[in-house]
Amino acid sequence: MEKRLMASFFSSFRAVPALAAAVVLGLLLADGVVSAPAPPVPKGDAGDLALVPADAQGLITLRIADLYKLDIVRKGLAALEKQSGAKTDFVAELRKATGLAPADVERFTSVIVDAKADVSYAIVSTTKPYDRARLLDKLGGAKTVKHGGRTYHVGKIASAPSDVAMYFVNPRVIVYAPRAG
Amino acid sequence: MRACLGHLAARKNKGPLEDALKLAAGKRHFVAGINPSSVAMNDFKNELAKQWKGFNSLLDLKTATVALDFGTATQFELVARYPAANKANDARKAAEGVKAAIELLALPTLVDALKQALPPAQAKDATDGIARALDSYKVEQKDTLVTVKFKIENKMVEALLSAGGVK
Repeated sequence: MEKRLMASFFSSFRAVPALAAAVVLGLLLADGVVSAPAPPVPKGDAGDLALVPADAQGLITLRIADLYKLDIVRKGLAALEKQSGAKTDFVAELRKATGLAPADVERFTSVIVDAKADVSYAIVSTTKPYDRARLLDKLGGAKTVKHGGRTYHVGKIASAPSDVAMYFVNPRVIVYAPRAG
Repeated sequence: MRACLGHLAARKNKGPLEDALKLAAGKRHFVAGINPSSVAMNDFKNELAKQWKGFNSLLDLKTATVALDFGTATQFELVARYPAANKANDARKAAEGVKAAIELLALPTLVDALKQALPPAQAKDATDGIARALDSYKVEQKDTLVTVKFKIENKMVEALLSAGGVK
């Protein structure tokens, strides 16, 4: 049984759940739409990394806004688009998945809690407060779910293969997770 | 989602990924950390092809963190924590061997491919860039920690992209 664990672990990183990939690419490529509602907003550190258990099996973080400023990243994205054969307009598909633009995303973090059990989630911290209603609008057929005194939303994101859960942690941090996880 | 909410209720901020979390909290563009079980790593080692068995000691790690910074050059840093200093020492030797293996096994093929794909001046720039990247490859050991660092110039990456047909 353990024999497959490593393969499973690394495959989790390779295929950091479709949801995570969708969110990353969506964030990189979507049109800018962050606006500013306003309750108390964390200044400086958004508190996103506090959502990562230090005993998780793995994590990946990307500073999206900083990366998107780099020519080499833009060229890399162009390379990916060309590799897709130009017929698969996955960019257009992924644009529908999020209401955030690259410059709005301070950090994207993927957390692998348990690769074998396929438990993972993604954390997005923004550079300024996001528009909650607009993000919720991207979650088709959204329903609210209560768990442990907290409320999150479950629905369909266009490019994700299954339902996605979305939790608004604070005005600058959102957690996305596969429904099952 | 419930795993995340469970963590919020009982935060575990101490653990094997602390090194990675500290790096992630800084300005590094990319950070990845892994905390694999020793059983899993052993299974992984057993599945490695024979020619890579010499590098097995690299996989005796408890945790590993990779950090990348992209500027005019891409700075790469790998920090691996081993269960004991002697294991770290073995891993350091294997990490030093990686450079030699690349120079002997992969480099000639890559240089040939670049010569075929790029105009001579660009191919020379790219191969010189690869040589500088290998020169920058440094391995250090401090007790149970092994650190590997190197940097790759953007010009070289662009040449490689160009060789791959990307303008």
